Amino acid sequence: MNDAIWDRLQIAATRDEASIRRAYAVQLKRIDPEAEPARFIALRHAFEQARAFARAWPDDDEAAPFDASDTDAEIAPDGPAIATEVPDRIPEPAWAPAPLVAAAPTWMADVDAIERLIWSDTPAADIRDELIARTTQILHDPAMLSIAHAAEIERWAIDIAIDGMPRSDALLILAADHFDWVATAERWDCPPRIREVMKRYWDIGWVQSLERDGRADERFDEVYALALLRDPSLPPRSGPAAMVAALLGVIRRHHPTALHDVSPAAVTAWDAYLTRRDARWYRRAGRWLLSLSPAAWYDRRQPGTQAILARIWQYLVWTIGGAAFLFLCLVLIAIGPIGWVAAYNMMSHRSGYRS
Amino acid sequence: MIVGIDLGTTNSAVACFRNGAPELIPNALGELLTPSAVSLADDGQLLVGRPARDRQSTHPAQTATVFKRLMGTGRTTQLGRHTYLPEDLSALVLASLKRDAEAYLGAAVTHAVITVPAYFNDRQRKATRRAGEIAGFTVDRLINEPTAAALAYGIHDRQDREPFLVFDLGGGTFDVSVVEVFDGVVEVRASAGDNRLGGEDFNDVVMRLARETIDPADGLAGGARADRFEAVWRAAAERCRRTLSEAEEALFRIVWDGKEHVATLTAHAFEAAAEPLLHRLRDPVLRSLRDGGLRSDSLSDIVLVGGATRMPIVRRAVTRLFGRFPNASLHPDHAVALGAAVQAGLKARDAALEEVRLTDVCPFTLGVAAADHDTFGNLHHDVFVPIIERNSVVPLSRSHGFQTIVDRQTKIQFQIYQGEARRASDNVLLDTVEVVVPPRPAGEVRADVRFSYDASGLLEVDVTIPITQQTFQRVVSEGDGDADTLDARRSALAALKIHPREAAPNAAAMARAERCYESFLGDQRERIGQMVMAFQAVLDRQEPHAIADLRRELEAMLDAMEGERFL
Repeated sequence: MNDAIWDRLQIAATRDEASIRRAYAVQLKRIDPEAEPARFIALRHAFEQARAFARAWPDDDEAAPFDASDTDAEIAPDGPAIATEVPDRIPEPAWAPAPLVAAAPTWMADVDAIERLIWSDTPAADIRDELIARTTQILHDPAMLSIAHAAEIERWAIDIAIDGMPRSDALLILAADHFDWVATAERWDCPPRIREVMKRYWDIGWVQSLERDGRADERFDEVYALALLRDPSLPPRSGPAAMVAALLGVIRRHHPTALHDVSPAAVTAWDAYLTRRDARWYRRAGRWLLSLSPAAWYDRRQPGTQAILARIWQYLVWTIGGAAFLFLCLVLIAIGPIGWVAAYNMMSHRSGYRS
Repeated sequence: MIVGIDLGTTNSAVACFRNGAPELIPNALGELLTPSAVSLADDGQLLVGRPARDRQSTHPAQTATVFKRLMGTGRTTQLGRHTYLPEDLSALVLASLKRDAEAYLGAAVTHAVITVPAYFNDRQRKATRRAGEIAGFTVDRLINEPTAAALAYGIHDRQDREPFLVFDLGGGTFDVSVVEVFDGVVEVRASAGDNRLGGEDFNDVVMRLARETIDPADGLAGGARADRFEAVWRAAAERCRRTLSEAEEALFRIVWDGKEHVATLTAHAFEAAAEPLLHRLRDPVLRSLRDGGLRSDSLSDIVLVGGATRMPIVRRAVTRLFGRFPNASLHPDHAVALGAAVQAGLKARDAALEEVRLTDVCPFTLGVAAADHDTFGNLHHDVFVPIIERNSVVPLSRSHGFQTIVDRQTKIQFQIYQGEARRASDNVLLDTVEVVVPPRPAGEVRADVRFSYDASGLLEVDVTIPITQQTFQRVVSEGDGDADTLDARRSALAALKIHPREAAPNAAAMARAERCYESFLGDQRERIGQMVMAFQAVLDRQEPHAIADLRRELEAMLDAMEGERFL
């Protein structure tokens, strides 16, 4: 711990938050924050560092763990009195609402039931309806009007949505709409857990859009590939391999949680097949040709920016290579069978096999 | 002498710190609140306050109200032949408060602390500061409204307080602050709010409900008189809403085209219709608690401030939010002005406040737009990089380093934004700083951006390029607030004829009588008409005693007809 901090506060290093606060208050009154902002910034920095220190390592000397209420009572002997005064002593005003929560909170039973459902062995399709009903009940419980309770439920929903994925999808969607996590995810300070939930939320939407657009021609490739990835009984084959490879790429890159929505066995089978396919000599040659392109060179320096150039290069390689192949065929046809024999004789003569 | 001014959406107030306590200053009518309204009288003079407010329903085209909601937008209002910016109208109100303070204190008042909603953005704050300067004040400090209320609440008995929450629902804005008091230090831990939620929105709900019963086809309002109709309707809605605060049902009553239209509204229907508004109270409360690192059950108190918290439906909503009763012991309309006066006393180093210090927070995030690579190597533009995170204690200074992204880049542009959205362009753009850098390969040139934010909300940006040792400095622009235009606006405003302060009670009585004349029928209307004629006659003859007598009589009669009046 930096000594300068304690010098600034003019106390010895301590883990007692109350005395840190008192020292800060004393020092603060010696300066005028508006006239001397630099001194205030330094003091505030020292105070925050000291407080963080006190909170991170509560006092080891005390037998009991750090108890906030103890220190608070020490600095403000009448503090707790204010806190209890409010609900008890004020006579009930005329605008008082009806009693808030019924005697036995019903949401507790629902929470338990949902947890049991999610960790049970029942197929996901069968728990869906009950999950929706119980989640709706929890979210529309009158107790949800209290922000303390709502915050508690929000935390619980985040945990269960992430841990129970993908069985908790129905709950996840209801909770995301209720707590407006879409708006939260738009903010720079969105908590990582909510971001994780929202990734799943958008991926569900993406998969559903594929299912919905099943007949649309422009998404035929994706829809067909999704069907193949969902059915482990169909063995991988070369025909749709490009489509499946593209879809797997999209899923892994943009919709990672959608892997929950396809059959793991099919994905393993296809991955093995695609690896074998990529290992063939002509595909390796093609990749080597592509790596020669200026676009690929540029891409290594500025990743992800030159996809169009790569396309053009690919097109050039295919046309020039194809034209050369056609030309060879034409030459072979033109010289005719006699020519083939002659050419064969010439080659064997030169190699000296028949001598 | 420094005064504290609460410049509100519906009402404003001025207070000073004397003899160790803050004290409200009455206006020319002897009232502590001055409606934030400006009206152009038929003789070309400008009326400010109560008389202007009364003319709202009789002369809507010549009257401006709720202009605080337009602050910082640059939208103009036309009164007669002149057009006014919102800050000009606010300046007229501030100037009237200044005259009141000078008359009361018997000395020139040149300095002021003005309150702004905590969630006002930089532009709105600058507009408020300009308004103060146009009115002839030196604005020493802008203070957040909930902070002012907390100051008034926190120092009156000088004891330590666990974190409490100030819930400030005013006429046009909603703010929440979490505040703690220890050893004389009033420390704001977090603020959040909604710039567009207040009592006026609840009036809209009443208007909508009444319209469903009285005029479902929208056939009453006719073309050119639409704004007049709107004003009459709004005044009736305000009255009805206030009655609903005390009774289970209230009569919504308007007179239009010589016919009386009546609807009965119940508190229950009102509450149901206002549900979406009540729901919007949740979010700022949640955010302030989260930022303050507190749970709602660890708050020691919930302090209600702002006129709209008088509504039982708001109090019920607050009770449900926190699971306990809020504290309504502060005067909802006075607390903010009193707190501003305390801040003025602090500023003037009043001996009574020697042991008191206030630390406030910056309620929004300030940062710059940048480009960034994601984990796949894709380049994303328009990413908001926060430099000063919201609810940090001010004054403060923070810096952040950036690199060039393109080879041989020769300049870097920093767009300075305020807001919470991840995409920078969804936030409020404050300024742009462009710096020149030496051409080098990408990533080799570094720029350190330092934001310094002072207690009045002034932002200073420094950009340093370590390679060249160059520093670029910029005080985030004041918009059109440079000295010349301010002077021009000040003299333009000084040239306007303001209704004389001594005659204010007469103007107020006359405006009110005219409004009542239009809102009553039959015998009552006739009696008001006769009274107005008599009053006009003594005004023309300029007999002070007769005027005062008749005015009292007139007011007594209107009180009897209208019931208790409101601002």
